[in-house]
Amino acid sequence: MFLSKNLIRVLKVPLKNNKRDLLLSIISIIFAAALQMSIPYYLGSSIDKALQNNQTGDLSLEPFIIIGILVLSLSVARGIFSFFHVYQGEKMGQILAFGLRKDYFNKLQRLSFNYHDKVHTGDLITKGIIDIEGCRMFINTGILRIVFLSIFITTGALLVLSIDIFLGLLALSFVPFIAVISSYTRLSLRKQWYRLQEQLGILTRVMDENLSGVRLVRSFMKQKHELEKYSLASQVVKIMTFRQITIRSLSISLNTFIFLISMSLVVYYGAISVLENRISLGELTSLIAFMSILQGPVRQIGMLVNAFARASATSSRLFEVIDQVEEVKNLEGNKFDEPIEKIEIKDLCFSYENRKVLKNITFTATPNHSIGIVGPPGSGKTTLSRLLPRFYNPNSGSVEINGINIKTLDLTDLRHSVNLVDQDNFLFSDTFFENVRYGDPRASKDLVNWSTDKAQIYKHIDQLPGKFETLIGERGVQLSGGQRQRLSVSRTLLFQSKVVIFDDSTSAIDTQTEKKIRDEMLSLGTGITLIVIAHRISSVMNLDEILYLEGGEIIERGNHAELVKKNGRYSELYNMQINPELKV
Amino acid sequence: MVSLSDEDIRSRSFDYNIIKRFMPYVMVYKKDVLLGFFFILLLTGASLLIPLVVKNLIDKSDCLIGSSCQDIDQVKNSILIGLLQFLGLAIIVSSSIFLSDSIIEKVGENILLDLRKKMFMHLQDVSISFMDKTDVGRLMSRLQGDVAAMQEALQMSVFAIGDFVLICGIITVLLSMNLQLGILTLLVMPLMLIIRMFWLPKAREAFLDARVKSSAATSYLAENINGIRTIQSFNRQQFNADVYEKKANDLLKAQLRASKFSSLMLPTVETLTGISFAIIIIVGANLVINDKITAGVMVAYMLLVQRFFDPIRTISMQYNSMQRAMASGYRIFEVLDIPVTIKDPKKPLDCPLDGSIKFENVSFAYVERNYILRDFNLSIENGERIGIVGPTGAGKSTISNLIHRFYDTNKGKVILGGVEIRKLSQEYIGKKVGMVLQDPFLFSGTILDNVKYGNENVSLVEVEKATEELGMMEFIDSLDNRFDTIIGQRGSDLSMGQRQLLSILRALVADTQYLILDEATSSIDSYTEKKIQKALDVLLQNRTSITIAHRLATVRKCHKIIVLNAGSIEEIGSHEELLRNKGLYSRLYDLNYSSFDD
Repeated sequence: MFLSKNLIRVLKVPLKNNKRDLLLSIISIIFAAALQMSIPYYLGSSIDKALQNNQTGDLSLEPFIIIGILVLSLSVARGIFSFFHVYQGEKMGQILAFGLRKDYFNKLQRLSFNYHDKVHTGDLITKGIIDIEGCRMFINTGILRIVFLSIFITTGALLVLSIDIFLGLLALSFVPFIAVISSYTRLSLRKQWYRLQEQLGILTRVMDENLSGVRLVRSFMKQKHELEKYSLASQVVKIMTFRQITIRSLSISLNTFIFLISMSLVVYYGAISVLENRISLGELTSLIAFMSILQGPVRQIGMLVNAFARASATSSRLFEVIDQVEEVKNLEGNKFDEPIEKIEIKDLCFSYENRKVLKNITFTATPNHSIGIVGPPGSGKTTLSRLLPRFYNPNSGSVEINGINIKTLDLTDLRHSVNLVDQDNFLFSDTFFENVRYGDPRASKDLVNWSTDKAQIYKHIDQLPGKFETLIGERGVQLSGGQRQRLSVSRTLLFQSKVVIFDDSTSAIDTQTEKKIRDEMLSLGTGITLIVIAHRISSVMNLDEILYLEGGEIIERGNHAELVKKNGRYSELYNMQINPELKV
Repeated sequence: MVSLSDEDIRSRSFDYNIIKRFMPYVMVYKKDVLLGFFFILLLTGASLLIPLVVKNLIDKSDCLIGSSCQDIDQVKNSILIGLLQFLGLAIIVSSSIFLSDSIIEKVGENILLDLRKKMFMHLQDVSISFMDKTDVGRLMSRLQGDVAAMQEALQMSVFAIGDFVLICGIITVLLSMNLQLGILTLLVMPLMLIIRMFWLPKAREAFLDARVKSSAATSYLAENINGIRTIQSFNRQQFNADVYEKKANDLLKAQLRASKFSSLMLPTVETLTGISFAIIIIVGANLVINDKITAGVMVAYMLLVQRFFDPIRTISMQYNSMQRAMASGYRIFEVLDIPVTIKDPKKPLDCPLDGSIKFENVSFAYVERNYILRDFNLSIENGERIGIVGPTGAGKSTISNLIHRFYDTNKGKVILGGVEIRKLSQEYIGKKVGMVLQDPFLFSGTILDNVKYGNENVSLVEVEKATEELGMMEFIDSLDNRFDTIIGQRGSDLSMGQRQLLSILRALVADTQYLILDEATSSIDSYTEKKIQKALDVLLQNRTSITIAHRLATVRKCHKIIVLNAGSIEEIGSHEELLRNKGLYSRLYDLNYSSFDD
């Protein structure tokens, strides 16, 4: 297949939305090709005329001035059409890239956690840069070139064949050869391009992990090992790149060779024909000029081949993402803005791939009944926290708010109602101000002040030289774990959700401050429902109900006093924290 | 302190210092570069000869019309010789295309790899203090983008030299065939140069703008991929999509403007070519009519004139890529110039260490004069289990940084097993001192690869034994492929606690004489931590260990607990002793479940 399904999809974008641009560029291509074709004809005729006048002794310059001006005007016209041809091509390519970027970004924004869990962020970023670029190049250097070339060759063929059939065929003889060689190259380059990209991804990962994990590398003094890892990945990249270079330059060289062979034959037989008076010298000149004009586009066949190989690989990688099915689909329209009376978790089961993480979880939280969840690592606490705002779909069972299954709720409304303060509190490289009002980009300064104050971080920000306008991250200030956590709490406070889930997100905040924040939240008076996941008993002991999770199941539940009395896992944990001497 | 300069440095198009430093990397491939040049010259020469061969053939065929005709068979013979000459040139041209392209591109690739490897190697040795405050993304962009820009510029400049030779060749041939026609035809050349002079600065500005917009869109994309979980939590998908669309739109506009500039060159070149053609037609025909030149010469002019605009264009574009390469070169050498502050001694000792650790009057500051430790003294005996607690900023992690010589002290000595650590090689320290870091970094690969990171030679049986001892078998068994399970990106599919467990296991498998646990269990629930503590009781028996923690329970079992506050030891003693002391430790302990946080 010359055009894969994905390439056709790439083409459809400019075909559908930019009919005018497409039309303009096709027209420009036709004119540019035809005008260019006509120039060799006039060059030839000027030679004939010169020779003729040489014979007759006619010294007048007039006919030559006319031809000269004609050639000049043809050149100018051709230049103008070439401008449109190239610029329109570029424009369509850029518009395509713009569209792909938008689709790609939107898709990534909407793909659910289970997709993002599986893929490397680096790979996604690379796709967003390199693969879109590959598709863009395809429009301009790929597909429009083909149109240009076919028009060019067709009109050229008519011209040369009308001069002399045999010589005309000779002049065109290189075209099929080059077509075959190019297709062959295309196939092998396409395969290699794909593999090379994968290998480059590995190399990037090796470097990135080495630099990000620098402390680990240094603490084990594994630099040598890291260098070996790097060299190995780099060596493979080198071998693959070299192979590509060889194939590419071989293909260009072979194409040039074939072209020159057919040109030499044209010159040879042309000269004989002129000698035998079958064609004029001017006609031979037209033939040669035509071929040398064609030389440029012929050389570009190599580029074109590359554009094709690249675009078929990149477009399939890109569409693989764009076509991903969103596991968590939004059933739009089911608006939800009533006050939350209760949030019920019923028989909830969940597995990652084949690993069962949650088994038959059932509990109910209400504004007057906050829930604490404790349990060993891997017991499914975080997964549970992520099921409530529906970042994943459960395998069975349900989460219901006021008796409505969250599957049927509008996702935006749901996530506005149920906010998760995650373990990995991601802060954006923006100002403190924008980070705090991340959930509500139109929030006022007062609101930002209020929420940072409640989260006990206002004073710290206010002390910074740039105050709330200070940049966080890369070139900004470094924050301690506790500060980051308080910042993300303030972000959540400002978002004003009715249900707030803390997933071990206050672990680095000291006990008293943590309690203060929690009390502030509960006293907001808007009926907040809290679900707190924590390792510290102090974080949950004052809540109305505590669930002890182990192996994906709730094995104990009750309030603090009840659970301590029970002498089970919870009380063991409690005793361990207040009195580590007790035996396990 | 050393830090990298901003990314958007502008540079001259020619910086001698950078060229000078770059040359050694090129000189490694001196032979190949010379060979590449040779083939470029061969290619240029042979391509220039082709129009001349054509001219001869045409003139031969023209003899019937002219007066100097010999007998037809002889003419045919000389035409055949012309054909053979042409074929010979065809072979030379196409084989030198292959050879010059592949040689030069391979040299470029080799230099890129060398340069990147050098940078990568250097980054393995630069101090942790530099790495701590440098964003990985910025280093990555230097390792990738900047190195690639250098490679591109190098390749382009080699080909540009070929182009320059080609222009000179064309000028020579045009002038030598007929001086008058040659001069007239070449008149367009200064015209072209003048136009380029006006065009370049504006075009360059447009190209730069497109690049800036492109990197703005890219970094926004990257951040939105990294922060996707937060974005979805806060329903920012649509808002961010709008922001991105604006950035993508800016990029589109900038790129369209840039391509308008580059496309504008086309009508210019066509017009200039048209002018040359018109001159050849008018003046050339006049010369032919007056028998001053043959028709073949006129044809040769027509063929040659089409060829000198391309090299002029590439050469003037060279300026841009050179400018970019100079900026890149600056950034590359900036990385290579980061001083390696912590160096191994010339003759490192590798004597056995006695298991003790001593800090003698150690003062240390990360930032000048802001001392974290001041005249700090500490003595740890062989086999002792030491706990260090204290509020954030007390200097807990600094102690572990100094023991591993991630940083050098400003004053005083750290003595490891009776030897000043500056007399030991860093590799030796790495073999002796195991660390479990606060951030449990995992590499992509299998669980086993990660566990064996500190000790490649360990057998699976030994790994399983250590896993059993740590009480982690249940966790491993719960994974699909047990130890061969592939970890997702940096362990993102594992919980923080699971990652910390794996990182403790990794340190135990490394089996070092000393072990430092730096907040190693901060994300593990107390229940599991208790289990781990019990395992550690056994595992730490024959080692000297330091446990740094903010939770009091974590250090409870240590022989000696050091309460660190503002860089000095506030209290020291066993748990019981400290409780009796009624100091900071016991106060916090009385508040229950206490830690020194924040």
